[in-house]
Amino acid sequence: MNEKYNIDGILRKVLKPGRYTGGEYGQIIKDKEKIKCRFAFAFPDTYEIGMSNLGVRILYGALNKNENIWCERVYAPWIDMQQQMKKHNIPLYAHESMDPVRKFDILGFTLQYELCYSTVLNMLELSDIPLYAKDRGEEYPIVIGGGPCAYNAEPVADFFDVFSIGEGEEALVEFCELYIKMKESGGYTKEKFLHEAAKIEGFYVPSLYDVSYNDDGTVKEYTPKYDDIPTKIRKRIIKDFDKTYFPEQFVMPYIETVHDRIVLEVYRGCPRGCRFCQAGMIYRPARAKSPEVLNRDAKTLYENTGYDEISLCSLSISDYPHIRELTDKLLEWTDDKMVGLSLPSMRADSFSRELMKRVSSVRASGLTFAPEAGMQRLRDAINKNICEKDIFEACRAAFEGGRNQVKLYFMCGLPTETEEDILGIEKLARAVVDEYYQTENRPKGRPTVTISVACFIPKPFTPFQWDRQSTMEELVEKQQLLASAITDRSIKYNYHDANVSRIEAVFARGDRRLSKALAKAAEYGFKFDAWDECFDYDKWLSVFDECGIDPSFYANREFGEDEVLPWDIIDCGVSKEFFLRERHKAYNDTVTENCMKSCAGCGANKLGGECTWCPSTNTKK
Amino acid sequence: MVSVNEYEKVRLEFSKTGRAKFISHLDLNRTLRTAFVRAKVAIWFTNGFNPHPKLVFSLPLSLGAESMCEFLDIRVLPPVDHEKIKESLNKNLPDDIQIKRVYKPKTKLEDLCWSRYTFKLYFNSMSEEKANEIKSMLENPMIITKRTKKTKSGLTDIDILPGIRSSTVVFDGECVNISADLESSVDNYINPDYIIRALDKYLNIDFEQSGEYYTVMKEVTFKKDCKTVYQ
Repeated sequence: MNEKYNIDGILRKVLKPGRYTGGEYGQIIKDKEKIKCRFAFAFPDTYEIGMSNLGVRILYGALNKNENIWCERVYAPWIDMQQQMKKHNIPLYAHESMDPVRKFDILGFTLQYELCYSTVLNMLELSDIPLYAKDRGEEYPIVIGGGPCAYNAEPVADFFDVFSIGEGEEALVEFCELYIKMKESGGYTKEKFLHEAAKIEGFYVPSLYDVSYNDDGTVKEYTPKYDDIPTKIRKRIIKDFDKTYFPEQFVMPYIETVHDRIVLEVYRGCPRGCRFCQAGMIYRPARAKSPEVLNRDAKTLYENTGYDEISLCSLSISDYPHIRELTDKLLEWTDDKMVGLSLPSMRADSFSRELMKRVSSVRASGLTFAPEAGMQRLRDAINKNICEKDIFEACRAAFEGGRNQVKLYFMCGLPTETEEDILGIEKLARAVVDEYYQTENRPKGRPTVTISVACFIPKPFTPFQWDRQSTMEELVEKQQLLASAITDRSIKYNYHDANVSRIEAVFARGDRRLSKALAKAAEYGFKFDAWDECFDYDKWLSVFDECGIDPSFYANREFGEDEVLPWDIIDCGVSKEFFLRERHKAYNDTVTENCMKSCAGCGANKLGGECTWCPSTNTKK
Repeated sequence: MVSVNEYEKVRLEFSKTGRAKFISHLDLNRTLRTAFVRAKVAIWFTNGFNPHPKLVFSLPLSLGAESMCEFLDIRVLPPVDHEKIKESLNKNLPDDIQIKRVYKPKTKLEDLCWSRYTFKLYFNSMSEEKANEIKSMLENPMIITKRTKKTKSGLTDIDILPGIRSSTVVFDGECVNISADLESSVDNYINPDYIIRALDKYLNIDFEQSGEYYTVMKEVTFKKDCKTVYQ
């Protein structure tokens, strides 16, 4: 029986079959016979989430631009589909060709968040691929990981052959080219190939590094197995951001996805330096695109996709030096064509009423600010350089612009946090409500101020990488304290599940010994941990217990400043000395100015490139 | 703003086959909306608070069924070149959704009353005899429970026999082929799924075994007399 028809039969039995059909407009189909390297690009979450990821869209296009490579998409089937696939012996397949993932040359996973790890293993299982890299012979694909979690991929290191560290647009193509070259020249073996790959800048082959541990459980050292591979893997960056590849077309999902629109990457990196933020550190140095290039890309994408919304995407969009010029250029044509502009969450400080007016000229979109902390002292400690006045002005501008809803993001459990800081969140929210009633030309009705409070998770490559996460008891206590302080009905309070944040913290600062727990979790069928309906905290605790792992060692322990960190094997461009300096400043409530004002000497400019704000290399200001 | 009267009404006949059969009506709508932009076919936008291109479809195809004859009415700013619209749209649509014809409509969408479907049934106990059983099933009352807004429970039982005409059942050695004309008017819409459900209910053909499956294809549509081809 034809395999495709088997899929046809089971698609009638699952929710949202459009997740699994492929065949979308814009998908890339190539002639298998002419392809030298088949790349399965897997996103370890549902289709709707994976299809929304800009990084995947970029890499899909960049790989397929090469005529020898065919990159296809793979997503994690939802639970109902997994049951059907198991029942009918259908292995995980790629969307374009419907060929089994197992038959590909290379299987890449993008690791966007730690909670996807169980789904990665789940997808390997669905593909009939052995979990551990050491158990995979030549007949299996090379399994490569990338994305933000690859900066500390130690918890999943045993399952991957190699990691791509940093930006992949150029690196992944080079990696495939090496694969093709070695296959063609005859002498290919997986072992030889991985050894060669480890010599390319930005590629980390974990099996080529031995890890030893101290008696107290901390890492002693990393030892390379060969002399000709680096002792520290330096991340790759795109040097000229204006000239880098950006897709001219997107695959157009049939079904609705999370971000179903044109996404323009205005700049990469962030000049701010918030001390809890990993993205703000690992994407350094900040590099921007010119308004001309962005406008050109937007037009091309509009013509090739037909989307009616363009989202300007960056970590801190209002810091883009040419924001006015860019929105001017875009509005010249978007209004006419009924295309809306939208912005992600914004810093309150540089937010201008004008910018908001511009953005809302076609279609209204939500407004979100992220003060992160309730009191100025704590905002200084985490280096979130905004003050109350900024927040009020931004909200007032929003109210005058006819909105009566704002959303404010906060964190609890931050280093140096006190009870006063937690109560400060409520005070700030109440002050925003007052601001609404003091705004003369406000819209009718009551405002809604939504405060969304996440739990702080110490992340590698941040000044707070040494800090401990608050214990569950502390976090719950803080959440309840805040809940009891809120009496105003205009304030809506959401908070993250502390259980989830704790597991995330374990894996964020984990080392290779956690692979045992992940393999065990896979055995028990864990998957989709980022989904409430799938996540089970007690089961995780029992898995850790069974494997003799103490989650507190990773999540709730303050790491020593002289300790070898599991991620010290990676060089993200920003120096450990800088992180230490920043940490000490945090404990003195001292701020560091953003990169636009002065250079704090983080070290990222040594990576070169056309850095937007860095001294000496700066050519673009 | 150009008035709606200055636009010219255009009908598209299109097919929806292959992988696109699992695309819901709502998602089809979104897919076509973006395709019009890509194809640079300027269609009329509604004037409301949230302007959007106006697409009017014939009754939605049921999820999982393929079709050679779906209809969509739009309004296009003149001068209108039917062939050019077809060509540019087809370049900008997924392979599984293709425009067959673009023309000036002479009928109302409501005039579409009957649809001819072909079912291909692949199941383990297929035989001449089974085909005869199916044939006699289709000639007797079939009570199907369907959703309705009219009763409190949200469900109602209907007999679908009056909504079925000129059915044939043939076993060709590989699969059982059913051809049947089902009523598809606004008042009485017989979903092809009802036939599949009747097979389960009356003959226990449930397609649950590995390798069992079926396909449904809408071949052609008719006016009220069930003879004149609707277009």
